[in-house]
Amino acid sequence: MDLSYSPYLDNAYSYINQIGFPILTYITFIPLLGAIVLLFVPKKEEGFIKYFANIVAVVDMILSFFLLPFFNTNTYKMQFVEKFTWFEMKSINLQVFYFFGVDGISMLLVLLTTILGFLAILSSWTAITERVKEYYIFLLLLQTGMLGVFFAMDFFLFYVFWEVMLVPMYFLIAVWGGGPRKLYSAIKFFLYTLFGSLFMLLGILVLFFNHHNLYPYEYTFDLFKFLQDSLPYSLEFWVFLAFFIGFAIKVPMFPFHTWLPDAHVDAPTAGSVILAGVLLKMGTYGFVRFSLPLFPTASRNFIPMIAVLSVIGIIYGAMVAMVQKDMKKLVAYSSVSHLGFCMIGLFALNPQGILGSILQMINHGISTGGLFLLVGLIYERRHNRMIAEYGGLSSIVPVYAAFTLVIFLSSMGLPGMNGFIGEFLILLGVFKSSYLGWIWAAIASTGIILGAAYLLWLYQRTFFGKLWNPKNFNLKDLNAREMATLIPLVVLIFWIGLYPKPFFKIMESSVTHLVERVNPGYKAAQVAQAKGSVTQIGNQKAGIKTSNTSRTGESSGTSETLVLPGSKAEKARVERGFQTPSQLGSGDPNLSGFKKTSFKENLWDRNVPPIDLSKGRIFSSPPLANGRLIGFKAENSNPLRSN
Amino acid sequence: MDIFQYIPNLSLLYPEIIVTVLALMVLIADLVVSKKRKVIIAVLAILGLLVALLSCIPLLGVNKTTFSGMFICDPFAMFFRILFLVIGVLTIFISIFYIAMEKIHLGEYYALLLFAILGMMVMAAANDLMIIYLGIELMALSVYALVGFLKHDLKSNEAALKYFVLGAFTSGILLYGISLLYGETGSTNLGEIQKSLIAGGSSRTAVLAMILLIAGFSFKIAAVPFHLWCPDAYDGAPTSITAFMSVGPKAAGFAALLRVFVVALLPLKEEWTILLWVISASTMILGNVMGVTQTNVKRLLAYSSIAHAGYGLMGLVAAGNVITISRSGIEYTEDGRMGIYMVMFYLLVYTFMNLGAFGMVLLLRKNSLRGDEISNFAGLAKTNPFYAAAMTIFLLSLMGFPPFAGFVGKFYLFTVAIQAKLYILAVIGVLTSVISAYYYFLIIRAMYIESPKESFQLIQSKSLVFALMITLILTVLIGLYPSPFLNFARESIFKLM
Repeated sequence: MDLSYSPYLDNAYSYINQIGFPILTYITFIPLLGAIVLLFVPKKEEGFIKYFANIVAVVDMILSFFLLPFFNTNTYKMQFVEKFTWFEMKSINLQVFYFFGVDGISMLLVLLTTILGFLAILSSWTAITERVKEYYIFLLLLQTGMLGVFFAMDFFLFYVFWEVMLVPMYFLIAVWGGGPRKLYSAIKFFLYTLFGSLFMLLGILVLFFNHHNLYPYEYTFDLFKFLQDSLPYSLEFWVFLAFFIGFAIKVPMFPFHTWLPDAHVDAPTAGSVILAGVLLKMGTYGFVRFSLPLFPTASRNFIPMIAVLSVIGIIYGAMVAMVQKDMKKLVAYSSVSHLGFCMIGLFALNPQGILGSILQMINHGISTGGLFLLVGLIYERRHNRMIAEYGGLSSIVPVYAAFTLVIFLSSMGLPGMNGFIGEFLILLGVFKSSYLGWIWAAIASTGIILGAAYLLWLYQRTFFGKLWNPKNFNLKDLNAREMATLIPLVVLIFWIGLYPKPFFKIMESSVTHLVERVNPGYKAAQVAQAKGSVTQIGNQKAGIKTSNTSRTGESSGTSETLVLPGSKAEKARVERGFQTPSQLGSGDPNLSGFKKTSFKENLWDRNVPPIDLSKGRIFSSPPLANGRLIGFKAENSNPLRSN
Repeated sequence: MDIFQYIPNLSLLYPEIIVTVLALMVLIADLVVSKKRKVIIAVLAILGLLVALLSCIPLLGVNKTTFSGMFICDPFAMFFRILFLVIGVLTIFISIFYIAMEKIHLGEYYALLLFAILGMMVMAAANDLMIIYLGIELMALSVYALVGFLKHDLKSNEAALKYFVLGAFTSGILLYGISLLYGETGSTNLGEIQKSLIAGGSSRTAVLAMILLIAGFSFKIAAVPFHLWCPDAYDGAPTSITAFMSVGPKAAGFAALLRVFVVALLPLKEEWTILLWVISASTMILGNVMGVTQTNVKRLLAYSSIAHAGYGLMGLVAAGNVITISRSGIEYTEDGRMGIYMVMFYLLVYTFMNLGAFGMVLLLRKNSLRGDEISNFAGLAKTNPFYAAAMTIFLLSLMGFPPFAGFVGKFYLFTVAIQAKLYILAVIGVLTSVISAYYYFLIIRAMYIESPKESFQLIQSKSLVFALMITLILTVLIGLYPSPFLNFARESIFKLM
């Protein structure tokens, strides 16, 4: 598909990325293409199907690696943007975009998805013996759905991918799962997630009409247009809640977590790996990508609730994990605990917390994905996952024991491995956060201790002691293929643990920008602190509060009266320090007029703007608001057009 | 005075005239054609319907009335005329093999079907309550007969009798409402009623008449609490007729409902939005909750079709909430229009996916096997993966799942509901959609996870497969690229409002 010849490029809104190659489209749809090809392969050619699915996954993974050299780490904007009209109703100016992009927040998650997707497919080689063809088709479809979720920047498109993913996962659990309750687990997973996502849909529609009320002649689902809208707090509150239900079920946060152990226990190994490694991340990704920037005030106001739920999740998940008899269930509950860390880190609303949280998402994908692979390997041999069946395994399967140890240690956050970096940053962020504080960090850190307890205890019970069970006497150690599924994870574990800098570099700009949006007081407070001026911090804190109230007051005022673009509403938004479209991203970072140095200077070295308390608002003009507009200029809008 | 103004402009009625002539021709041809070659009649009917479709082309965009304003040929009518003709063609395609197998391959079947379609078209093109009533009766009487077409099947007889008794009773209620409205406003013409109601304000008699009209139309679209006939009639009727009933009369009921409420009774919108809100909510809840316990696919789809009527009504309530009305006139905003044409778009989408789902039920019909229990679908994915996938797509689409047509339809209905600030109704819609996912998944589960109980072969009917392919392609296509269909629906209501 050569997008450069698309007729939609004549539309001013259409846009193709800097490298002139729709790489995100390829990454997303190669698995789908593979699935379609597999449809036409006869069922009996199982060998060919396996090889083919693996090759598709490898190609997809390698293609996703090509994003890295072109990725500009100095900008928070969307990169590799592809934007076309998907369908439209010209008469009422309704446009639904095919809008893909990637930034520092989603970049690592995309790589995680392609890597885990490949490992999941590779790990199924001998585990799946029946209905092989359908199995691989569903796995590849799932891969397309997941990648689409991370790339889509148009809410309609996002929602399509978000839902599409459920069906293959349902089938993976219901058809290839083990256990007598697999049908129950599958439909439970499906209905829970559908329940949440439909509420999210209603939230999306409210945003859609909020935008439509501000701009009566425009109907759009473009995320970046929503980001510029002012949303009255009365709506923001409810829409945040609607999104919260959708994402919190997916994460899953504490009271919504009950589908997770069921789904994990009954899913096949590959399904569990994908479920834990990627699907849960969609919930947290949703919070970072949508909830925080779209509803900054509500996000700040909901921190207490989310912190309480996260901490309950951390401790409850760990304690329940400790008493499990089934290894897979243990790992499932440990996910609840780890995702609690991710959530509390996000809502620390400072760069440390959010960086740590995103990194912890990656870590959890690697470690827990690894844990499920390990459980799957032993299950494939013994068809039993009960801890009581094992003991003394290290003497008979030493390689397996070694890999298990590494991944266990990574999961419990041993220094030098990936888990440590993520958890440390999260705790640091929570500790320093002006919304949470040391007490929350202290409570959350008990989760790490409990994590060490249940994992080490599990290790002790299965690998140490005497090899007593005669059924285990003939266990085979790992073969080359099985090691191949684990080695990449081990490499990543040590890489992130020992040299995490490249990973942070990818995320940094985007996260800093996000923090400035959701927590505008943060940077000012930082600078003030550096100057040692205590009074200014006080002012700053007071300023935040007044600015919040003034914003809500004003917003509700403007939204009731319909305001045309370019009129009062627009001015009010600029006054309030809202950013212009070009500043908010989706532009091309490599365009002219965007210099790296000036960006850095502006970001860090600018003086704190004066706080005018008499007017009840701070003119903390956000970063980059130095009057320079970069956006869809005619000469820049499409590099390909000049050819 | 120009005497010619009383001569009706028949050119606006060509589609109806062609269908009438066609129905009569079918009856005559039935006498000539031998019993074994009844397929010829089906071919004749299909060709005739296609001619009627062709005759619609010059009428697109026309906006004229005839028969002293009793008939109207506007884009709204054309939308439904085309929809009904397409439904007719698809129904005949899925019927041919099935009715031969049930040993009811008679010419009357096609004639009655054509008369039902004629009644539906009259309903859509009526601009007068009397003509609407005429259309409803023509459609209903034909469908009563068709429901009881399996003469030797007691279930079919029972269904026909139930449907007939209840239907006749509701017709009476509807007629009573019409007469009250006539007494109040002095006219049966929709436009005249509107003017009179705007001038006179709402009176108790008018509200009572409106309630009676809602009762009558709710019966036709199978909305709660007038839905009780629906599962029994759907279950007992020949499956091809069930497929037809679930889309045709329902869409026709919506066509008349939309025109009457958006044109004639708009001044009473304060009253009818509340009433329809309640009906819409209870229809969504009851339809979906009752669907959960079903084991018979036809009954399950009957409850699903009840629920879908509730979703459709949501759009009408939203439109009623958004349209503003004052002494100086009615202001149909773009938002108000959106409510109406999203209902129409939803009907269009629903037609294809529901016909497809019933087509799959037909495909399983064997002499020994009725093919309409969920357990009959067990293991279909192993024996016929293609049809299992097709059925899955239809069911996912009915569920409102992306990227299929049903999603776009439901999405925009929620959109208009949110726009009209009907948050509670939208939440009810959302919650009941989750419930509906459960029972649609019962069928998917049977197809993919359970193993086949007995070996069976699907019936071999090219016409049925052809109809299935068309509905399947449209279900997927509208989901991926809905704009032409959305535009078609939108342009259809401009002259109406």
